[in-house]
Amino acid sequence: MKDLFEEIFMAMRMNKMRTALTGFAIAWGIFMLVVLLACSNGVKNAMQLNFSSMSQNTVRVYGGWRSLPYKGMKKNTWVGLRYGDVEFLRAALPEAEIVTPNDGLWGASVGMGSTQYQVSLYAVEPDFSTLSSIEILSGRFINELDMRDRRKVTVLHRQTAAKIFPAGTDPVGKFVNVTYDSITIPFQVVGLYDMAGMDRYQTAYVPFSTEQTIYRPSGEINAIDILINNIKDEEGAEAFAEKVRGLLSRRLIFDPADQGAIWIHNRIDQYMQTQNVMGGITTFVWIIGFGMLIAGVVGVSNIMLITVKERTREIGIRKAIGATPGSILSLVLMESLCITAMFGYIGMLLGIGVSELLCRKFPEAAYDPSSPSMFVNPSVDIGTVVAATLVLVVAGLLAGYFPARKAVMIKPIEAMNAK
Amino acid sequence: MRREHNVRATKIMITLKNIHKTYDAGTALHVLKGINLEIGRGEFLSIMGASGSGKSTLLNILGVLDTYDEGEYWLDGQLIKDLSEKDAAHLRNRMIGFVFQSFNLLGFKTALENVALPLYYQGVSRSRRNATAMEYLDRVGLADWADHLPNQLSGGQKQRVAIARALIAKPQVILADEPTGALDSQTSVDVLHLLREVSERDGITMIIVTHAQEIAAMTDRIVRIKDGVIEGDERLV
Repeated sequence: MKDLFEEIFMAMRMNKMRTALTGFAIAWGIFMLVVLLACSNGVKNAMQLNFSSMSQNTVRVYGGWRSLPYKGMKKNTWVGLRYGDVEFLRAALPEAEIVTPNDGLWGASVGMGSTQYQVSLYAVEPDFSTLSSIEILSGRFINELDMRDRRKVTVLHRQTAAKIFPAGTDPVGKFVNVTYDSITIPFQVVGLYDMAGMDRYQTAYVPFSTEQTIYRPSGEINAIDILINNIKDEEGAEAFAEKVRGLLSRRLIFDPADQGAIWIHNRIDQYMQTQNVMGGITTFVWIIGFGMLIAGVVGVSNIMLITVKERTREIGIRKAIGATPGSILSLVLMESLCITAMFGYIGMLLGIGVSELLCRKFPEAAYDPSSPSMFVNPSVDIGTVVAATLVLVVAGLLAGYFPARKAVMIKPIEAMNAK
Repeated sequence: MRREHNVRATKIMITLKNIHKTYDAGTALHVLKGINLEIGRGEFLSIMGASGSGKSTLLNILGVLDTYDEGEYWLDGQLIKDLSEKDAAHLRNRMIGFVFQSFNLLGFKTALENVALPLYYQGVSRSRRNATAMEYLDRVGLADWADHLPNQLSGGQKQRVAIARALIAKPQVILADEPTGALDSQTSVDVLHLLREVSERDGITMIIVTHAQEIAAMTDRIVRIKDGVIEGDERLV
């Protein structure tokens, strides 16, 4: 074995420039493969984070307009959701973990004195904290007592609080003026939150009961959130959505086939679709990387063919003095394997190095939910590295195969007579 | 491999029975037309013939470098027919040594490494094969040139290295194809003497292919080949 490697390195040394150029093609191919895979991982990680602002297995139901006449109800009439529908679904959907209402008031503002900041008021029940990825930084979220007593309390985004209150003061316990529809009411700040993901709209959370009493005498709500576990695939998600639609169609009187009467926003679906897109990107990256590698492989194969041609006489001599076909085959195959493995490894290490640098530049820790990035933590995992190594070995053998066969076919006499 | 031993096998090294060989180079070229030849163990003979007579083809068949179409070739009691490439390689490695007109040394290997190469294909360890190669280089008088590359040696020296390489695997037969073709007359005589000494000392059957009468005259037996048949077989001693 040691002798074989010595032979190979001797051959590589005899043609340094050629070996280096060929090796570069291989190194470049594997380098690009690793970097591209790292980048696709970065995009994937970013999408994952952006998604985590809502629990992935939630279904949101909105009211809508009937697009079909049904049981005396005319087309283009409004189907609104009310709190009673929440209680109805709670009873009808034992499999749902949480069924909770939410209502949003857009164009509200919070502030103190003359400084007012545009926010959305979001009315939720305490359950909401479970199905969103809301993170309480200080104080608390809305609780059952707030609900029962219809307290005028609010949970502010850390950046909203930072704008309203001077640095160094603790906003928790302080009062802010909430203005909506020209009515200004003081609310007490009970907590500050942060949320990962696409929460660029700074929302102020208020108890659902309070909001309904003050701002929504009609009792209408914006949407119902349902948290449901044990749904594994798109079909399950679709079936669940249809079940919800069916239940509400009887209660709110609309055609169960009417897709417009209520809107069901299925985050499971969306999540799965994103997963599919990501799978597509990864496949695409592998194809590009493979293409580059193949160019390298063809280069190595070419060089090996030239090498074999140049060494025809030598191979003939070796055969005459007793080299078996197997030993000639392994001589060429191993040389090809050595070139691809050596330079491939260099390329892989460089690729990992570059992706580590990118990791430093786009670390997960620095992820800012208020300005969501499309690129987070672009690392390559050990599986990719193992796969790339395997690809290299296969590439090396592939590149060497035809030249090696050619070498084996060489007839000693003709080879020795060749000049 | 089929082995067949008989009483004569101890005395006869090579038996050729009605060997035919046709090359298909566009039109069929009948090169050997029924060669019958018997060569004893330890004989020192020459095969003479003009170019195109078929002597090179015969040498290739004897060296298991090429196959024949018809007839039988027995080497040391073994029928050489339908061998796999691998078996042929083993046979060449252990039974047959080659010496060529153009030396056929590997240019990037030292004299010592060239001599040791057949042992590499036998799987002998590096230290043992280098030690053995040194012995044989010493035998041909080139111990001091062990570390030289072929292009640093004279023609005669290169041929001595080639002879040492042919000897190292302790073959039964050495096939020398115009071994003096590229050498001046004094060196040719020296090389011939070396081949005879080797043949006599180790009992190796030495077959020298040449077209030079003065070289053939230095052997014990001259086989003349013309147009693919043996034309004459003359014993000089």
